[in-house]
Amino acid sequence: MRRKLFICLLLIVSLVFFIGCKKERAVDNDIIRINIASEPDSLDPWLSAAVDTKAIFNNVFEGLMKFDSTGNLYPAIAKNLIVNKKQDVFTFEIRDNIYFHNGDHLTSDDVLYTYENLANMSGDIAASARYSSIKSVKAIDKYTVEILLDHPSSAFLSTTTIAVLPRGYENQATKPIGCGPYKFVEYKPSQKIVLERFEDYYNKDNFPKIKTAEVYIISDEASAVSALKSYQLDLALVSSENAALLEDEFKIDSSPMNMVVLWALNNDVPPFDNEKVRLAFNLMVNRDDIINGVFGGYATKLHTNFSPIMSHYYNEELDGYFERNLEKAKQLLKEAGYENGLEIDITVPSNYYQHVNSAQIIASEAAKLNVKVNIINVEWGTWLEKVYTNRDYQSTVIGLAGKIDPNDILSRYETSYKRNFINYSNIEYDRVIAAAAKSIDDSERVELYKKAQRILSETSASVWLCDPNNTTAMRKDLVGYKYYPAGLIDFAAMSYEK
Amino acid sequence: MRYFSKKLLGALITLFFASIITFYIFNILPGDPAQVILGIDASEEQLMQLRDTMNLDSSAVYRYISWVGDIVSGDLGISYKYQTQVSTLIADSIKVTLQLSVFSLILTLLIAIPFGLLLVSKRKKKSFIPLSILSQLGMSIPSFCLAIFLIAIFTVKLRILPSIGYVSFFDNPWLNIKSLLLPSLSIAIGASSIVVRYLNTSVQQQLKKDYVRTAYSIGLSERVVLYHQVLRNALIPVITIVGLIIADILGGSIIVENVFSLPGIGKLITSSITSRDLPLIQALVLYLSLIVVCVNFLIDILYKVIDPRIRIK
Repeated sequence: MRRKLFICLLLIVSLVFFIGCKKERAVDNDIIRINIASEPDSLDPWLSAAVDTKAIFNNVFEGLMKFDSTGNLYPAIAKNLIVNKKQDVFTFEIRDNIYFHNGDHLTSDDVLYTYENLANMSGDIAASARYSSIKSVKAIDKYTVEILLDHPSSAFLSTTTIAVLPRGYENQATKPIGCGPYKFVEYKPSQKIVLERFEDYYNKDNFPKIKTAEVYIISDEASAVSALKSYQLDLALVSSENAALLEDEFKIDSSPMNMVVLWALNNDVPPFDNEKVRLAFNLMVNRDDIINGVFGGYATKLHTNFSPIMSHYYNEELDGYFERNLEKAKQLLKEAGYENGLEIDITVPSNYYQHVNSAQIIASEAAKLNVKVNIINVEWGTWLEKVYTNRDYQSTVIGLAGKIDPNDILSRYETSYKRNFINYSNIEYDRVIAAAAKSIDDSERVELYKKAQRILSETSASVWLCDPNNTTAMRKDLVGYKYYPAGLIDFAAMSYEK
Repeated sequence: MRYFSKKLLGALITLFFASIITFYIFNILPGDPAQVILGIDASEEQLMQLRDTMNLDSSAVYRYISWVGDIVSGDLGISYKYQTQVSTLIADSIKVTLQLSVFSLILTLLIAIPFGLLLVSKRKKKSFIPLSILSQLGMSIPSFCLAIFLIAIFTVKLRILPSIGYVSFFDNPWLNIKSLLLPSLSIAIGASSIVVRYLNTSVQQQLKKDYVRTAYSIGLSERVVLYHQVLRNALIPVITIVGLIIADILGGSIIVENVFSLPGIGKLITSSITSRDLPLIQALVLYLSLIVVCVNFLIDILYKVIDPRIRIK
């Protein structure tokens, strides 16, 4: 009797529990919940370098200028911009209706503070090299700032997208304050970042429609997918393989992310110091296999260190530059003195499974040329130190995040560049890059950068593989999502259809 | 009293060696913390600025000694990555892991004891075999795998339990319990199977002992013999296992916390190691060794409670 009673009780309790839990999806149109895979590197916008951190925090901060979704610049904090003919004096007229999230009015004084710090004029904070060309910053009146450069530079303007911060505020690294459409509410390490609409945001055209944005830090992709499927997320950044599985239930957005995934060859060590060997491997690699096998078909083939999505600067003539040809590759290896085959190492960061898989496809391909490939898996910290900093490696597979300014992408191959881990050195290339940076004529710049891309291909500096797509799955009624190659998830533009 | 001081000394030595070994390993391990945190897109200036805050220039020995000095005075230091006090980070995470562990332990016992008794009572019947297979199965499925099955059923299909989004107990107790149910269940199923197996073997062994025969011979019923005499004796080895299981739960929580995105110690450990956050790792190692030492100590005491004949040496 007691036993039966107990079972009955248990049944009732569990029934109540299930009914209590069972809830249809609560449609809350005042919140957008998304995921990112890693913790933010720094909340301080001047210190942060990771693209996915910026993608979130560019909602909190704004600079004098801003990038739109095609990579063009438009004035943000600045209302007007006057550039002198020589392109070394930039005069910004600032809007008079901008407030920081702490209520302070933004004036030329804050812009002055920002650029003096970045150019290290006060001397207490280490300056960023990107701003070293600033000679002086002057506040002409309350809403006008003049920036004077050492030398004419058309590339300078793209660096003015950096956050303008309030003078005298010290807690940017823990409680950041900007003037963007969303204000920072809280960051719970390894949980989430919460942003909330800033009611005094100046730009009424891009005024946020959704009140709260929550960014969950989910390192495990399977967890992110199940969270989306169970309506715990409204939008999820997923891999292309998973995107294919989510197509029926969700809206998928997929666009090239302006990244260069490459098999980087250390140009200083044998056998890769020999251009013929580098060319041979460029002709050997089956880029289609990698794109289909590793990126689920969602990627663009590359033949130089530049993504076609940057159409303004991309050299289309290089499309299909390396046509796959195993016979010729064999011949080239023979000419280089490796007719009896050779053995090479590919050091890959084990946390990026896509790079590891790409290396495996390369290895199986290389076997056809009698080349034995040793894949060395290392942990990310080790990779950074051994490969990236000390350049103590033979070859590696890695993705280089895209930048909006072509100079930031291509200067990686300059002989004097501090992080030229490929050890590429070409006098002609250095000359072209230097000339392009100084050029003030846009069409001339474009030509120079196209030439630089060609030099890289012609000398087979490395084996460029592809630009993988950034894929996003979202609720079907979510509108306004756009991918920004500069790295921004623009919450202000998003809303839900009724 | 002598026993306590001896134990305490042993614990201190363990902690000392654990901390010195981790310190040494992280000094020879390649990887510059600043570079790891900021990634390959950081400029030289940004790296320098971050490195400035880390105090990495002084020698390793000096840094170790000053770290020990700080610990003694109660200062765990500042995390490289999160730029906040290590003690607050750990205190926040402990709450989650502790709650997860307690939940898992309760669930483990809730599953293990009835199931174990069922298995014991069915030991001579045919239904013993499928039950035994079931417990074997529970033991061999790894917790992360179970976690994914549970998510597939309860989150994706039924949509009754969440798989992300931890809520603190004090903010919303109901949501808090819901958010911890799946993670603790995925740990508890494996752990309880181990307990069941042990309980079963232990009972079988006890049943062969002389006192059981004596008990039957003075006319006690099977029920009384089993639950009053045998079970009590059979519990001793099981308690050792429960002690080990607490350590197992702590280990299991590292993986399970990552699957369910719970902000506990496990998540903190993985992120601190990958970001080479030395002050945080050191403090975590210290904390984990402390737990293991304490649990072992508690188990010793429990032995004595259950069987007063055991003398602690």
